[in-house]
Amino acid sequence: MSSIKVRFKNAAKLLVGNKKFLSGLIMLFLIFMMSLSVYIFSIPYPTFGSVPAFREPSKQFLLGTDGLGRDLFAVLLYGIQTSFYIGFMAGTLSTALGVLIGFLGGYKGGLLDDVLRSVIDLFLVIPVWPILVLISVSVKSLTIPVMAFLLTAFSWQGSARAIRSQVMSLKEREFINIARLSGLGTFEILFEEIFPNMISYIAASFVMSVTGVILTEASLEVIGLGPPSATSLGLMLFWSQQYGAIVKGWWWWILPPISVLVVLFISLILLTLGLDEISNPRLRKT
Amino acid sequence: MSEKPPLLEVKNLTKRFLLGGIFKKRYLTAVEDISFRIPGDKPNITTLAGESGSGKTTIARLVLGLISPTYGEILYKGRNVQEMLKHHRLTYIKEVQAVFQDPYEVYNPFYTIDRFLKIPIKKFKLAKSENDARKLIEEVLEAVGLTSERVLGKYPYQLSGGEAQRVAIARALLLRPTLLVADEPVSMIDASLRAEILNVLLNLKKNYGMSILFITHDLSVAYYLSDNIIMLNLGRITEMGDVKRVINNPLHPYVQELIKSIPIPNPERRWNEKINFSELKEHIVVRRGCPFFERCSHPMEKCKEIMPELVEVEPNHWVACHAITKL
Amino acid sequence: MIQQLLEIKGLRAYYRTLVGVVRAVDGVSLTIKRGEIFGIAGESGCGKSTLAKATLRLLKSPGYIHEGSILFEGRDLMSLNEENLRKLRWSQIAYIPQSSMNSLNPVMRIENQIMDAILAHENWSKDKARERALQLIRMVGLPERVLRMYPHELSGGMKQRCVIATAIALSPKLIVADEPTTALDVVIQRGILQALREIKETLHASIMLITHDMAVHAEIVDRLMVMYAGKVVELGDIHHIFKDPLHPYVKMLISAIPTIEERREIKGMPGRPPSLLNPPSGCRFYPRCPYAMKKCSQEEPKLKEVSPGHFVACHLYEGW
Repeated sequence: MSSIKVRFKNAAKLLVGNKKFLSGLIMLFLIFMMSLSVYIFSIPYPTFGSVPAFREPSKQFLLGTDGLGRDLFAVLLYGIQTSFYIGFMAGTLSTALGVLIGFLGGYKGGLLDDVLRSVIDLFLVIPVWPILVLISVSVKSLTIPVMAFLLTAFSWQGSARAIRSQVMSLKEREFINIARLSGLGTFEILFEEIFPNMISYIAASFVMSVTGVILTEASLEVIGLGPPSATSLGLMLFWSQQYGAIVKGWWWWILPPISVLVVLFISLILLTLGLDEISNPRLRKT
Repeated sequence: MSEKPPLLEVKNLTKRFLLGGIFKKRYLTAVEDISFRIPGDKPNITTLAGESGSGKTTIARLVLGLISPTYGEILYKGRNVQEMLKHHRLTYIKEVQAVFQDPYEVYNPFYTIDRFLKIPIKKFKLAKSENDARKLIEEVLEAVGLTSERVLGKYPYQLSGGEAQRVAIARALLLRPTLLVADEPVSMIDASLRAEILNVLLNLKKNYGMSILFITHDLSVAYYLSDNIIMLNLGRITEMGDVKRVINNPLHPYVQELIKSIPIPNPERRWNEKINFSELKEHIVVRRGCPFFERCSHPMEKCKEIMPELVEVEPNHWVACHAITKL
Repeated sequence: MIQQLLEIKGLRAYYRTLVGVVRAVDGVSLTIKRGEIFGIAGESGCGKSTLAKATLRLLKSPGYIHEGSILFEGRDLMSLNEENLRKLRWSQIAYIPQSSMNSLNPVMRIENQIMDAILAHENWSKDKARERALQLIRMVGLPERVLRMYPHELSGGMKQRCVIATAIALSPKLIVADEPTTALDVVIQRGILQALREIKETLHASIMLITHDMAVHAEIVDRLMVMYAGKVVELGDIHHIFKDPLHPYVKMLISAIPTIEERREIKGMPGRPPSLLNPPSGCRFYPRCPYAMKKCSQEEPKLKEVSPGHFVACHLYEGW
C-alpha cells in the first residue's frame, strides 16, 4: 500500500508543479477564504431590511446597500458561499452519478450498457437550458437545495458518457485480462484496476461539472428564475437589472458580483487546463 | 497408447465476429472448423503458427475463456471449458494460465509489479502468511532467472522487456498450471534476447511438468521449442503434426512457401531462387473451397469448391490439401 | 585511393533529457562502399536508429550531433546548410524510416504520392513523373494496378514496397532503411528483402540496412557492423563474422538465434545493456562478458583491424 502513498505524493507534486493548475487553485482558494471571512469578521447574514436601502459605498457599507435593505458587501460574501455550495454539491453528485453509470455501462456491456447508453443519450439530447427554465418556473418553492438537485439531475450525462468511453477502452487493455485470469471479480476490477487509472479523468470531469453548474445556476438567477429570497451572485445581477442600476450609475451593484463570477470561472478553467496538461504529457512544455 | 484423455481437445471450433451496421450485418470468420489435440500423457509443447490474421490469437482467447465460440467445443481433460467457466471458473483458471505478447501491457501502470504477483496468491490462498507469500514469490522468480531485489518494488516501465516478460511467466507459474497459453511471448523482444525466455519455457516443461500452447509467427522459434506444430492460414489448419516432420518435409503448398521464406542465420545458405509471391489480398472471398486457392502454385479444380479435409498422411503428420491427399 | 560513398568518423550523437545527456551514439566510425549492402545490427537502444537519423542530419531536438564528420562522396554533410541538405536527400540519399508504411497518405492514390514526391524535387513534366512511377512500381515487384489504389486497399507488405518505390524514385546512391521488414510476415519479408537486393543490382546503389534480426543480415548483407551501447564492437564481411565471430557479444548474439537448420541449444544473454546516461568507463560489455578481464573494466577497447577488413573492439585481441 505504501506504493500508493508514494503515488499520491508524486501526483500532488505534479499538480502543484503545474503553473496553470496552481494559479487556478490559488485563485479559487482565495475566493473561498474571502467568503469565509464573514465568520472571522462577524458579518451577519444580510436579511431583508436589516439596513437602510440605496446607500452608496461608504466606510460602514463597503459596497453600499441594495434596494431590499441589505449590506451588499455581506451579500457578496454570502453569495460566494452559495455558489460554492451549489457548485460543489451538484458537481460532486453529478460526477458520482456519472462514474457509477459510466463504469457499469462501460465495463459490463451488453443489455445493461444498451439501456444505460440510451438514457445517457436521452439526457444529452434534451435541451437542458429550456427544461431548467420550465421547471424553475413551475416549481412552487424553489430553494437552494432543490436547485442543487435539479442541476445535478441535468449535468451528469457529460461525465457519464466520457467516463463510459474511457472505461470501454481501458477494458480492452491486456492488464484487465490478466486481472480476470488472476481471479479478480467485476467490482474488484472496477475499483482496483480501472478506477486508479481514471483518477485524473474523473477529476477533470468533476471540475468541468462544477464549472457548468455554477454557470447554469448564475444564468438562471440572472433572468429571475432562482430562489428569490436567496443570497447569490446571480440574484445580485438580477436585482440590479430590476432596479435599472446601470442607468443610474450604481456600479457597486454590478461590478462586484460580475468580477467575482469572472474570477471564479477563470480559476476553474485554469484548473481544467492544468489537469489536461498534466494528464496529457504531450501538452506539457519541456 | 495411453488411456489418459488429451489435455486439451478442440472440436470443430468456429468463431465469427459481428461487424457493425444495423441494416447490413457482416461477419468476420476468425477461425473455422478447427480440430486438434494436445496429448495428456506427458508435458508437451504445441505451437499454433501462422501469419497475422490467421486466427491463432483468437484460438488462444477461446481456450482461455476470454471469448466464447460460435460453434464447436473445447474440452479440457475431457470436460467442456464453457461449462467449467460457468460453474468452476476458479478451478479452470488455476489450471490454465496465460502469458501475452506485450510484456508491459499486462501490468496496471498505476501499481508496482509486486501487486501483480501478490494477487494470485491472495485470490487462490496459496500462502498462509506474509512470509510464506514472500518465499513463494522468491521461488517463482528464481525459476525464471530473476531475483526479488532486482524486480520487486519497481514499476513496469523500470524493467526491461525481457524482465517484464519473465515476471509475467513467474506469475503464471505461481498457480502451477497444467497448461500455459503463451501468445507470441517473444515477438516484441529483440531477436537476440529471446533465448532466455524460450529456455525458461523449456524449463517449465521439464521441471514443472507444464504443457504449453505456444502461439507465434516465427517458425524458427517454433522449431526450437515445440514437439508439435499446427499451421494456420486464414482461420483454417493447413498442416499439423510433429514439428520436425512438418518443418523438414512440408507438404502443403502454403507451408512450403512459408518455410522457404524463413531467413536462415547462415550467410553460406542464402535464398538463391527468386520467388514471385502474389500478395494481393484485396478481396478475401469467403468461399467453400480452400482459402489458399488464390495464392496456390498448383491449384486443382476441386480446390475452388471443396474444402480440403485434414488427412494423416504419415504418423503424426496431417495435411489439408487435395493435391497431396489424393496420392 | 578510391573515394568511398559514405565515410563516418568519430560520430557522437546525444539526446538532452531532463535527467541528463543520453549518449546514444558514442564514437562510431564506418565506411560504406558503392554498390554494397551494409548491415547494422544490435539490440534496441544500441543507437542504430539514432545513427541512421544522424547520418541524414535528420536528428531533431532533443537529439543533436555532438561531434564527428559525415562525408558523402567526399562532401562533409556537417557543413551543408538545410537548403543543400534537402537537395541531397532523396536524390542522393534516401531514407526509409521505421514503420514508414503507416505514413502513406491515406487519401491519396499511390501514383499521386510518388509523383508528388518526385515533382517536389525535380522540374519534370507530369507525364514524365507518371512514367517514372510506373517504372518504380514494377521495379519493386508490384502489379501496375497498384498505382491507382489507395493505401488502405493494400497489405502491409505492399505498402512497404510503395514506400521503397518512392524512396528510390530519383535513383539515389545510398538508401538508409531502418527495420524495413519488422512486423511483416515472413513470406512478405522475403519479397521485400529480394526487392532490396535487386535495387542494389539495378541501380548500383548502396543500402544501409538496420535491423536487430541477425538472420535478415545473414540473408542479404555484404558487410555487417554490430553496435552495443552506442559503440561499434565488430565490423567486417558477413561471412567472416558468422563463421568466426570475434567479439564475445557477437558470439553470444549468434548462438542465441534459433534456426530451422538444426535443433541445437540456444543460449541466452544474462543482464542488460548499461545506461547511456552515465556509461561506465572501460568496455561497456564488461558486466555481461564471460571472458572479462580486469583491464576491461578500466580501459575502453579501441576498434582494431585484426584481419583484412575485419575490425573488433575487444581486449582479447590486443596482440593480434
